[in-house]
Amino acid sequence: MIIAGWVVMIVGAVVVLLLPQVSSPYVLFVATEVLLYVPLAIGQNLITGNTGVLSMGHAALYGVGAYTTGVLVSHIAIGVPLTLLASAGAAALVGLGVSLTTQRIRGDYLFIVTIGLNFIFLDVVNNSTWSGAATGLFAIAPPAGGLLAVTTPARFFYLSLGVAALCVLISLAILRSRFGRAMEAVRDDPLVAATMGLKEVPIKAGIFGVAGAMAGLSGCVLAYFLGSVGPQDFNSNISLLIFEMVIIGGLGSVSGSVLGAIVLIAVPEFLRSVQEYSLGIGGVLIVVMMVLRPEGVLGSWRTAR
Amino acid sequence: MATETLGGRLVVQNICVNYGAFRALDGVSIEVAPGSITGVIGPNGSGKTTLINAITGIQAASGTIRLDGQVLGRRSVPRRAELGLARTFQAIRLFQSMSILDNIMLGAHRLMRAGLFESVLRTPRSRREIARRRARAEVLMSVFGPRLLPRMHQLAVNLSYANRRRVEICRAFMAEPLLLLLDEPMAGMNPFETQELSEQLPELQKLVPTSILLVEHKMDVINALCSHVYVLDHGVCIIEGDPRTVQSDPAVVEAYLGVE
Repeated sequence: MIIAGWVVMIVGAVVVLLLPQVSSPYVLFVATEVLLYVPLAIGQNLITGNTGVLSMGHAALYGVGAYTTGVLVSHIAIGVPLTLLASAGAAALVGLGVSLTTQRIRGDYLFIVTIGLNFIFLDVVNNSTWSGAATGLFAIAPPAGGLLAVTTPARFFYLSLGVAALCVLISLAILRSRFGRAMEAVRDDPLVAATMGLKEVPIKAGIFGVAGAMAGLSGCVLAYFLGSVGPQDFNSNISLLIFEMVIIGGLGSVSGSVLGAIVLIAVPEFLRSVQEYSLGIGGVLIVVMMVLRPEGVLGSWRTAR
Repeated sequence: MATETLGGRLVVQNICVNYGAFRALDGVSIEVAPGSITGVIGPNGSGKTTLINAITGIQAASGTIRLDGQVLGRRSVPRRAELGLARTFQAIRLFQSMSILDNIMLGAHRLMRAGLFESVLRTPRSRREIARRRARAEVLMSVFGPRLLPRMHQLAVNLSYANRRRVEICRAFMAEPLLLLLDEPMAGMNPFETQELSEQLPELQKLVPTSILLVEHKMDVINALCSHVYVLDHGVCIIEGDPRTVQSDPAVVEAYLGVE
């Protein structure tokens, strides 16, 4: 069984790595889009699936990452590695800030407050000159010949793959450590966790920071990928889409996050005729899932009833 | 046991807790000597659990609480845990989504020295630390014979009631606390299991030297384990002393059995 698992993983890895050589440009585009959503779904799952925090503002963290790169590139000559770092750092700081300022709000109430985060973000970028207001920022391109110069679709694919793989590894490492158990303890019973010396506030803030950094990385790659950033890419529908990925893929499961991104990005893309309805399809899927398999396809966490 | 080197002296002076107009604790003072098992008994609603909640910081209280001379004051629940308080709950509260072993290992959180990065990167030091704690967890589980050890990878939610109690007790001992507060650990156990546990508690205490404050209803348990006992009634400590003297006191008989 273990050998079979390794074979499947190696074959899968080879296929993914060779994708730019064998697939059509369109398939490569969709695959890159899926990979951009993997860090977002993983971060959302760390927050909601593993730590039990209902947050619905992930698109804002994504947007902070994208705008950080957009603003930096339009003002100074800066390479891709530095914009990745800057975007991750900026989004991590916003994530930390959101968590620390909402530490007294729990459950459904936090869900509502974080919906507001989307609108705050949109209001700021829509009404500021540095962000290009409603039209956004254009001509975001990496310097030619620089380190990680992403200029071809294949390179975009590999960069997204690298970022997604990094986020998968970080997430797995956190969840396998005792801090993974600590997050789940805070989720299962915060009071008992406290009597063990587990501090809810820094644990939640740390996870928001990590998830923010992951969203920032995705946002940075997206800015280069599209060559522009605009408010329409980070509205509350995007937050809802990311939230749906986690519910459908499986709460608390890293592979579930990846699956959720594939299902909600790739499937509607290939079913072109229904693409406009991807949020709605996600909604129907959630209703079906809640009835048949509330923990998600690959979910591990099922609350006791 | 060398009591001079052993910490865990709890001194509670004159603590009061109000729930609105209701005074749940009214100037209670108790003391737990290092290494002892000190009992607290009293009828339902007499303030026993409130006392534990006040000591662990879950319930705000006036008065002073000292652990080895250190005033707990306004310290938060996690800070008190770090100082060396551990507890169990009257209604068992395990982490439902986790295995028995994970539940018990979390108890050792305050002792773990490897930080976030070391743990996430699984450095040799953090792996050794985890291996050491895990061996410790198995030693504690083995006190309960074959009841927990063979099941340690099962989800806590699938266990029998008595076994969940045992897991919670192991988890509390895992913290190697200075003071352990047990809130009716025998509640819901049958006479055989109760008898077993009152033999296993001193065994666990031998493995993990700690003072214990034991809240319990069953008098034979108190008689077997405690050197000193406090009787609470309506939020007031009506008498203290060794268990046998206390039980024959008319005030205790009245509180428990009512007046003729």
